[in-house]
Amino acid sequence: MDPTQFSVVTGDKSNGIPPTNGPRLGSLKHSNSQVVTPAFMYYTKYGSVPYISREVFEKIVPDDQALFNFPLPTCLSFYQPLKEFKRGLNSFVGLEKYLSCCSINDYAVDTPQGYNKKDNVAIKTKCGNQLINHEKYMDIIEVFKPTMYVTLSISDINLDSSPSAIEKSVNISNRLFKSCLERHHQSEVLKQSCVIAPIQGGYNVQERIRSAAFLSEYHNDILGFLFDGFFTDGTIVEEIPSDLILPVIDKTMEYLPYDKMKIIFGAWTPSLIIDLINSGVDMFDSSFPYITTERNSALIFDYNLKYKNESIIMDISNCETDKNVDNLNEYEICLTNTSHFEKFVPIKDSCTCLTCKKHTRSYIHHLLVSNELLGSILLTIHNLHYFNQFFKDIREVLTNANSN
Amino acid sequence: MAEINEEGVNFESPYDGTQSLLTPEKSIQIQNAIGADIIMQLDDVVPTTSKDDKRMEEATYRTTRWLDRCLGAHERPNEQNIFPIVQGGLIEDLRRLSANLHLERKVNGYAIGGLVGGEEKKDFWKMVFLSTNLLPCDKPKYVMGVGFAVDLVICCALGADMFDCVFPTRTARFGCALISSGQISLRRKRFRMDFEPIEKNCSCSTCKTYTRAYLHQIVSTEAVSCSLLSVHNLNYQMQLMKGIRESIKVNKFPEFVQEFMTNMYPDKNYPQWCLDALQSVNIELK
Repeated sequence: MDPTQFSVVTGDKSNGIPPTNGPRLGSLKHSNSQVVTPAFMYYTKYGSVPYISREVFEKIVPDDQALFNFPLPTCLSFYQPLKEFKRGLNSFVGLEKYLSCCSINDYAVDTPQGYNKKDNVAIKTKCGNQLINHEKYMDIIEVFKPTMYVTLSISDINLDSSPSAIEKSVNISNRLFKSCLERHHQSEVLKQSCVIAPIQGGYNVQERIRSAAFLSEYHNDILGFLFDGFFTDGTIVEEIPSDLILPVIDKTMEYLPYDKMKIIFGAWTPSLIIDLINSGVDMFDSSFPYITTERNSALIFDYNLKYKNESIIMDISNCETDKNVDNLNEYEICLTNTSHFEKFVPIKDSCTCLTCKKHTRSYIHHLLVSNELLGSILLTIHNLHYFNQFFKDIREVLTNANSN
Repeated sequence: MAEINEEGVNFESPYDGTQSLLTPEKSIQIQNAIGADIIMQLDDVVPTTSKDDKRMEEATYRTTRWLDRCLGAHERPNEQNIFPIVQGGLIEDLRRLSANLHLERKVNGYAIGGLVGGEEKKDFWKMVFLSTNLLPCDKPKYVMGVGFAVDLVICCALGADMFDCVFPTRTARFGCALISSGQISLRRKRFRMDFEPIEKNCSCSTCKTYTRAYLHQIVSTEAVSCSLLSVHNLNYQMQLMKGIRESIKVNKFPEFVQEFMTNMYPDKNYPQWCLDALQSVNIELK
């Protein structure tokens, strides 16, 4: 069996030279599985999509083509049992038939900075910080046997980080990358796994470029790049202004090989996701629908996608009729709001998800205000379905643009 | 938080202290709106552990008076069935009285209530048996609040037909899984390296996919564990009831009880109340 491969299916190739930036369709293949990009990884906590068992997940995503992200802070405690279990993380958590990615941070929660010691990275678990060096990390990865994994890195950088902290994170992350890669090449077990290189550098373009240029030298050894180290608090990612992050992404992108998968994690807004796709990002994660569910909200935004001047353009035309609702933002409605008390309509009229086909806003409101677990389960079903549909529509626009 | 008088039950909201009066009529009006097939009368329940026999007597008579008010307020008698609730605490005469009063009403089934409130098992089973004996053979008899596997099997032996209980799902939320030899708490450290399913040969989707070791990792943290264990526990209980029905069909119920009790008590250290209850219906455990 070959390890996972990523290839760019389309993009702007008008002059024969592939550009570095611009939206593109890609394909991630591993034996019988294929994930078409732009796409997102399903965010997990302790090996499961929050609120959703695999059995329910199969009803939301009926085809078996899905990629799950396992953040180390909630999976580290699996290491001991998995050493004895021997069949890897996917099998242990019941997601054997899907693709998996191991990453260092939990991108949907607020994480305190610091506690790293030299080349030991502090993994913030519920049982406290655990310092991990590259040897220990690769031991873990050999036991987890993921389809792909991000190499160990220092990425607790945010908008407030000092230049020296940023420089340090690049230096250490580069060093750790090299150490992990060496160990990867020696490992028999990891022949089936692929490496993702984490680009650090905060919002400093020069540092980003330094990181990207260094990692790009190893492009033959890696499946893709992760744009890492933009935030430490996963719940405020939506508030990061696009004009701060997009120039950094665009500049860095010029130093990265075209044919590699580009990944970014975190709860970016749909509008920024479109911008990032236009900048050439292929892969995201489902932090956004997760955070939406956590604040008892449901995605309802009406969007219209067009392809124009080599980019996707999204118009959001919200026709949410309840004018008295004080919406948190243009993407969602909050179902604990009393205005839904007697709303006997689905969350979203046109939605075909299991929740919208059977249940009313009024019932979900009732479940949420009475603290019934089923409320969050139904919201997750809707929000994941909606987010999934959003990406399907994005891919369709790109497919159509390509065939014209 | 609740005050009971002849009119109904006056609840005080724990949030803002507002009062709301639930009368028998109002309870039926609400249940008519909900539309369930079986609906329950409003009853006056005194804890079985209460020593106040006069209060118990008042509650028993009041329950019947409220039953009549419920039946009178019922607006969908052709679609929904009101079950009267036999009360009387642990006082045999009151139980008998309550059952006999309710027998005079035209209904399609009966509930046996006011039990499982901390009373001793030897009192519990006698009250169930007394009630099932008085109630007609051709109507369903529903023992309220029974959910432990042993209680379900014994109550079936005593002639009960239906049960309801939060136990399988509540205990699931606390990390407990029901198995043929009783139950296991998956929070326990000893499951950390246990790569078996909750129960071998279990047909539920949880046992087909997940190990005790994985469930141990998520029981106290992840909501998914509540779903996974609820699936298992509900399946366990459905299989248990199915086993009871199948054995009755082929006239092998005593054998079923024997096998069930052997699994639960492999050292044959059967509780005395089980032996007594089963003996009353001529089932002798080996």
